[in-house]
Amino acid sequence: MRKLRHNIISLSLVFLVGFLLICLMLGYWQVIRAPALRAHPYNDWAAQRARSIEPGRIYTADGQVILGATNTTEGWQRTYPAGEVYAHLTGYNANTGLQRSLRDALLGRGRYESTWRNILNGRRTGLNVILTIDATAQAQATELMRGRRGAVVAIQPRTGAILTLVSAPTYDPARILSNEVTYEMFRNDPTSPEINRGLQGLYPPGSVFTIFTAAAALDAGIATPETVFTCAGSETVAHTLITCHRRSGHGQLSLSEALADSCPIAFAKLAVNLGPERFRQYVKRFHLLDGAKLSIPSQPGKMANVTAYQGEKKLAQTGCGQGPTLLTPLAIARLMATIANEGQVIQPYLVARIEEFSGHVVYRGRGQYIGRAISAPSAAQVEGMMVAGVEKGNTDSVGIAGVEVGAMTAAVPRLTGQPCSWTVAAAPAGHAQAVVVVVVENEAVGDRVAGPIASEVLKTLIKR
Amino acid sequence: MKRLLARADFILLAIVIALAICGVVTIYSCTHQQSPHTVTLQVIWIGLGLAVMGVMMAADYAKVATFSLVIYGACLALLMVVLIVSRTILGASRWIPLGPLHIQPAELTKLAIILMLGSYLTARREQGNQDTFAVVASSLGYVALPALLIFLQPDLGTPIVIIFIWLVMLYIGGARLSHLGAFVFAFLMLFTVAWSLGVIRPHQKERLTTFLHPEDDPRGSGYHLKQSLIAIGSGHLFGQGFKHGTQTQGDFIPYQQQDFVFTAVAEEWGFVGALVLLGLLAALLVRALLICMLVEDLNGRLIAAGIAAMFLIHIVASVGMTMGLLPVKGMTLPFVSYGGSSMVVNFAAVGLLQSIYMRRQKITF
Repeated sequence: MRKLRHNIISLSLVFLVGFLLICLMLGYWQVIRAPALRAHPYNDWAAQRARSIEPGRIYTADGQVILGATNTTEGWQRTYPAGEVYAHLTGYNANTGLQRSLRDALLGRGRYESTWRNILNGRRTGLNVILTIDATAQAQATELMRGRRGAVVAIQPRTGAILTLVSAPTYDPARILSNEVTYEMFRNDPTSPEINRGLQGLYPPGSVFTIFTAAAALDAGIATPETVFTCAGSETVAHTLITCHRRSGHGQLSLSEALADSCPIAFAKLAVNLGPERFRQYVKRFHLLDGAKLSIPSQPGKMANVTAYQGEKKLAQTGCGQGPTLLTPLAIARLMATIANEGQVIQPYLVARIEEFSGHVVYRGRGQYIGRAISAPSAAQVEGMMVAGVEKGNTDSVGIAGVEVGAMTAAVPRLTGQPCSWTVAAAPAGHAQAVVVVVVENEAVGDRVAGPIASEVLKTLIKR
Repeated sequence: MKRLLARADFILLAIVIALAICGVVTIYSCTHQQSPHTVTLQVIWIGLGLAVMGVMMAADYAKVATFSLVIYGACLALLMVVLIVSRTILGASRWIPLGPLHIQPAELTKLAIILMLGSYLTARREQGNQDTFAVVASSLGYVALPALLIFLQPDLGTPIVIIFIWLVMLYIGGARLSHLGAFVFAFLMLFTVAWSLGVIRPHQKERLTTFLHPEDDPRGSGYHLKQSLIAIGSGHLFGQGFKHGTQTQGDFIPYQQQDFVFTAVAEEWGFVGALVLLGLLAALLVRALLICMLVEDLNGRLIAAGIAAMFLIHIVASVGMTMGLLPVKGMTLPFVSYGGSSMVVNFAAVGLLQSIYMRRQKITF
């Protein structure tokens, strides 16, 4: 009987522990996590309450309304005046895109709440958001990408302002929300229109990556634009076979020529000469794998660990763009912007201003200087080599009459086996006003499709 | 009889009545807009439950236990009837229609198993072989058949309750931990096989795994848990007030008055109110365990332990699932959730506890 009593006491202790655990969990959710749960995007009651507030609108830099609002019998409802052109920026409901990340500003809540403003307006109102996006270039890029998959990203390299952010295929928020069938079709669309490919699409950069390798090598002082390499068509570099797209080989060529014609053998050798540790340091200095700190989430990049086992082999592959590297178009745009900005890395930004309906500015965005990747002369040398490439006709589809353009194109196989094409361009050389990155999925040659798109968008942006 | 009634556990009685009142108040708040008759029905169930409790108190639990095999057999028959002529609600066939009422035999079966196991283990102890592996294995037979019939309804939650009751009663009855551990291991293996062979249906798998990552599909499979957490968080320290819970009044939590009643308490009465409710539930368990300790008779002790185990797993599962501690399963909160069968069975269980407590020592006249 004593044993049975002992068992009851043991069982009671187990019961007690179970109860204490429940009480602790309850305290965690009701006290510590309570504010987050009350403001949770799926708090339907909060959503209902939000409809009584006149929300702020979202504008482009040149004043076009991309997210409007209309008062209905059910409260304030969102409108999408520019439809598919800005779908990936506005999102399609309060829980997607900028409507999610800027919810407090658009509804005048949280840190943007002002009793004084509400009294003056006679009602609760939100704040307007003005983006850095150029409406003309955005509409043009959307049109040029129609029927294709990929992204167009343009940045002002000196300020970090994002001028264009287009993802294709796109969608019309008003249309997909019109009924459940279109919404379900949208959610299950195999082309994934919901993904913002400019920020979240991870693509192998191919020979576009050689911009980075060249910049790092020049800055480290291990090469100059005139340094000569030998390309025999294929060569074993650091125990890995590197094959050039020109089967017969380039013969002897300078670094400048190697960059213009995307010779992987030259860049594999250059990366190995640079060494894994210095290579890794330059990756960090360029913030190459970092996601951008924007109002819309972006994917960080992926790259082989060149300092680990068989590092030199991975280094040779990575340095020439044939490694398992995956970067977003925005990351490539930031790399190019760093070259165009004399080696200084600027964190891109999307929100130019947040202001009250009266025009009083409560927040002003700006690109944040986050470090120097390479020296100004090294950056100028890379830019010069890219300009030379365009002038020699290697990337002539990007050329703009009367303007010096620095550009690079690449055609690379995707991990799925389907190719994709890149074009990276900046103009005017020396004091670039815009950097444009175009990636087009399922296209074999960068020049023919991505090149003209980049050229058109660049022309629009430098004419502003 | 008067002397016997004077020996009743009035603290236990006060606790269950307080819990039932909490339930009525909360159910009224949950349903006064959409279905105001729900609270009236709940009051009727409580009245019926109190009557059943009175009968159980008056009856000697030892005499009731002599009918354990009959009660157990009747429950098995009812479970079979469920599979043949049951009313399907939300894809499950758990109710027998009886005029305007729907009886859920699985609820009655829990109590029947407690009585059956109590009698069986007492008989084995009297033979001196209560801690053998054979006793553990043979007692499983009483549990396996009803658990299987309930699983086929399909209902995954009640078989787990039954197995937990079985484990607790065996442990209190003196079974070796190594024997019980071996069976728990075997159950886990069986469950893994059932999972991989598709015996566990896709919707059951989804319910069992969604609680680990509700954010993956907050509008789909994770909706219930997400809304439940929002309701709990919205309550904060002192709650939003009676009939003022935004999630509760907005009807954002499906079946809130049944399986998610705790979220309504937490939202409208806050952390303090939820702790008071948990305190009352803890007191219920303490009284059940105290009776288990005080009674000299092994059968009474085993029945009390089984009832405590039944209450505990219902409380832990019902409260735990609202906070993402456990998968979302249809588990009622004893005396608080809406439901006739569970209310009557819970009161009957308390009646048994009272009967055991009142007869813990022989009364001399």
